[in-house]
Amino acid sequence: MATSTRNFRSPEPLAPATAWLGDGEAAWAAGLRTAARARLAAHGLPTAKAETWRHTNLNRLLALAPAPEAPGGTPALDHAPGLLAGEAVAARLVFVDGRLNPALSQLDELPAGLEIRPLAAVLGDGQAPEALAQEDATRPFHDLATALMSDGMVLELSPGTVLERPIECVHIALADEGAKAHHLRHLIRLGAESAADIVESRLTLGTGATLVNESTSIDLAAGAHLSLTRLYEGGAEDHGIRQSFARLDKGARLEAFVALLGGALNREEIVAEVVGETASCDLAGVYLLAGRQHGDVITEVTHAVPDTTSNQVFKGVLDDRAQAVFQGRVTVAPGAQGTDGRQLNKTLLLSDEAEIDTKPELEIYADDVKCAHGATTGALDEDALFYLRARGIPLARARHLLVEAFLTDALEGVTSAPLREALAARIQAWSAPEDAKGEEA
Amino acid sequence: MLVIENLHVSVGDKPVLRGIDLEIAAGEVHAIMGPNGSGKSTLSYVLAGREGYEVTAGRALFEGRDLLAQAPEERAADGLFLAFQYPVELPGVTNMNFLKESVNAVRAKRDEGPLDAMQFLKHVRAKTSQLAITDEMLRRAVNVGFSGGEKKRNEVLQMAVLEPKLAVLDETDSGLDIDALKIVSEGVNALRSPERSMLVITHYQRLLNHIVPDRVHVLAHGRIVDSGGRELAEKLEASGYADYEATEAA
Ligand SMILES: Nc1ncnc2c1ncn2[C@@H]1O[C@H](COP(=O)(O)OP(=O)(O)OP(=O)(O)O)[C@@H](O)[C@H]1O
Ligand SMILES: [Mg+2]
Repeated sequence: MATSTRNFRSPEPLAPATAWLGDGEAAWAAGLRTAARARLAAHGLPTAKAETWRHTNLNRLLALAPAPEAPGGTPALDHAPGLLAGEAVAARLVFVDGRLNPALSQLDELPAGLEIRPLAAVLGDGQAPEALAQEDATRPFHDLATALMSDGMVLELSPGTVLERPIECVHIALADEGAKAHHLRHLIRLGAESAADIVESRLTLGTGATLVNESTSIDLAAGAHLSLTRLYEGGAEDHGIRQSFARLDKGARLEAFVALLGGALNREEIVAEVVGETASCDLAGVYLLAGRQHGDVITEVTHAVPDTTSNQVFKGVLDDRAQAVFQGRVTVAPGAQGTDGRQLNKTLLLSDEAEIDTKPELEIYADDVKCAHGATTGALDEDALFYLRARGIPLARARHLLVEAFLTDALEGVTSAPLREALAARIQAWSAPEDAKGEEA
Repeated sequence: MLVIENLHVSVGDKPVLRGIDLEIAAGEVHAIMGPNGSGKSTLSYVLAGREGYEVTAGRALFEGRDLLAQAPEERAADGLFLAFQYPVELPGVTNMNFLKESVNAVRAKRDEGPLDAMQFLKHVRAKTSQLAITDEMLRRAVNVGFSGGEKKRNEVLQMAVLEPKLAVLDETDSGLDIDALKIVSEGVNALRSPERSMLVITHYQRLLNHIVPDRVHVLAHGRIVDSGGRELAEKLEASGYADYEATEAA
């Protein structure tokens, strides 16, 4: 079914004809879709020859051939279990099967200066948002998202607006039968000196197969501050592919934290262009995978101007036959003196069959910079395990304590206390052995 | 309390213990002395259940149960405690949490409920003051950045908190300054009781002035080559192990 040669892989299995897409949209929207589809047809999907896809197998996904669905009736769902469930928020967006669900969302009474619209509505407008036309020939899933976009979040924060409460996004896929695909594009624009916290969670209800493919464009004007937290919890047949493109102007700050807690294939790719002096970009996260799950963390940070900083810390725990890829590249452009770029990747392997491919890279074309990168990979320390057991702590619990200890500083970058607790609880649930879960309850 | 019969243990292909016989009754304190590499730590590890040691013959009974068939955590829950010669560092695990986890794990094994936070704190506080251990040390990660002496005191704290029936102290005196030696010895002596036994491994008679043993054994080349009262330790201090080396060579 999937035609794949060394150099070309047909996008057909993931991009079937969808006559119903584009109904009621503006002409420019149809134009964007057509152009993206044409680029996709020309370039194809990534093959193993693509540097960041070398260890990531798409065969299973292509065989499943998840297809987008025409909009149907309102799904029966009465609550959205997001990370901030119950917390006061500035806005809450709940996407069910790739479309905003107004009943579950909370978009009325937005604070002054905050504008949020569903992409589906924007596509019917007279004017195209500039960021929607963003192209990236090296990332075919971005074109796929544009060609098949069903909805997304279009957020704009006016200059000087500092949100007191977070914005929550919950993405729920209802996976009962067949293989479904949802493609979304999100646009986040923060005006000068504005600040927002966005907290996203993604989960699947049901056991069917899904692909949720999302592209997010982030534009931070001078002095803007975005804190972005993403949680992904997927089942054994869930595929989540996300690419984010961020642009940081002078003095802007991006703090992103991602937690990948499952999925058959789960990929977080973050491309950040630091184009304004003194801007800073912090990317951090955890990947906790078991069974036959596969996770990718791909980052590409470019320091284009002097005196900018970036810091990346990603930690992973892999059990069973789980696989993960960390590829982080920090590029310091010629003339970007005074850059401070750091990158650290640490992985704990709980099984002999688990696998990590880690490749931190530095490309430096300026001479006065402070850059460091490192990666460590290892199993649980046998001496530590024995020490714990010699104090009466059962093996499973001892392993759990050491996994927790390994992850102990992983949430340091998450500044909101309730959010940190919610994430800690998810991580705790992931690493607790079955027998210890009962004890703690 | 503890009965060891004809215990042979190999590490890899190398026989390290070559027929140990030792019996410690309830309430007794025994000391083991012996040259470097004679097998003292090996014996303590085998009793505690560390992996990598092959028991090729013999057995060890703890209160009549086959000790060697049990997992390390079961032995600990039954009341066996090993103070490590080289305490292990646990980055990311606070000392306090470690103590709590171990106390509650041991209690769970005995079908006792977990101590609540207040009860636990009270229990620990009583022991830390005795051992001159600061709250700051309790908040830090287990043994990480501890000085040699602090690590040893931390071992004794764990012992005091867990209140074992049989404590094996592997060179707990090494690396202690004179004052710390006194503090630790007092901590250990406070635990002495007619129900509790101890096996104290040491190179120095000095410790045995503080913790006075009922019996002293000399371990050389994987065997107990001599046993006696506390005066044996004094004799060793003067003459060293040369006599036993000669015995071995013969
Ligand atoms: N894991 C191991 N691999 C190889 N040899 C080992 C191992 N463990 C112990 N041995 C050997 O067994 C012998 C006994 O070691 P052990 O640590 O029991 O000695 P010890 O009496 O405690 O010495 P010390 O007084 O120096 O602490 C030594 O020769 C040591 O090298
Ligand atoms: Mg030793």
